[in-house]
Amino acid sequence: MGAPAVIEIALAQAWTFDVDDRLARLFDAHHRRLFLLARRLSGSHDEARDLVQEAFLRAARGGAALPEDAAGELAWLMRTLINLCHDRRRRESVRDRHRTSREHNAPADGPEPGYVARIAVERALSTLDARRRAIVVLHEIEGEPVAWIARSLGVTPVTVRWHLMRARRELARVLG
Amino acid sequence: MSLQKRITDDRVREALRQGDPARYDRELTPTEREYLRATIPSSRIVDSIVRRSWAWLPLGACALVVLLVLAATHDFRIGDEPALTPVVTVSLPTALPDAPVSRQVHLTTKNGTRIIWILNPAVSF
Repeated sequence: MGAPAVIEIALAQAWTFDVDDRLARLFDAHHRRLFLLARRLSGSHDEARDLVQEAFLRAARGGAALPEDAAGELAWLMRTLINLCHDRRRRESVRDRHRTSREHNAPADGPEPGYVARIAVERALSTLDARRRAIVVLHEIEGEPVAWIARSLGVTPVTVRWHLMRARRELARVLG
Repeated sequence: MSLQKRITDDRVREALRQGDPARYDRELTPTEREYLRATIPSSRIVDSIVRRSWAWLPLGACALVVLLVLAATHDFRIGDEPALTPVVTVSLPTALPDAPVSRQVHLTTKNGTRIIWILNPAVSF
């Protein structure tokens, strides 16, 4: 094996370690935030975990598309997660309707107030489109400002406000 | 914004925060976290291997096509094909004296294919 080949392998290995290190850092930096969003967008812990995993796997595969700065990374991951959620909902809409009726049964010892509120909110949020749901969750539950959401999701603040207005109207109707 | 609308928005916000789906489920378990952290880099390696193997597919397909064409056109029989060895048989004249004499040439190949030429007696050169 000649010297250029050795150098090439060494560079490839260095690049691999560098990318692996970046992925590990990416995971450590954003998994909590991403899981919270996924949990609020999905119906269960397992589904949220799968969404988080898939989002990071996308990041691992499309490393070049991932922005370099932390805010850009988070925005990229959030957009990916929301798109994944959107695709999943669209694909499994029929199955979800049946599953919701089974999973949302109250516990045998009587429903607790917190449980009732959570189920009501999950049901209400599930009536919204994934992107609108994400905007509502980010703004109303996580308290993020409209400008930040618009920048992260790559839309205009007007669009965010419009989604919020429509979502509040729909949620007010569903939540009573 | 009207007061009524503001109250409604506040109520929706309050209801959402009270029933936050992530209220008691705020993060991944340590096992899940370790598993995901370990899985993500390895998936990239697997993905690159798969991608690399897919890159060989067109080349493999081309090679297969070339082989098929060669197999279709090449004669794989060993040795020379035996030359056609005709067995010429000339039929005897028929018994009827007035009937025109028809002649036949029989050719038989080694594989058993028979070719019979019936010569028209009316034709004369």
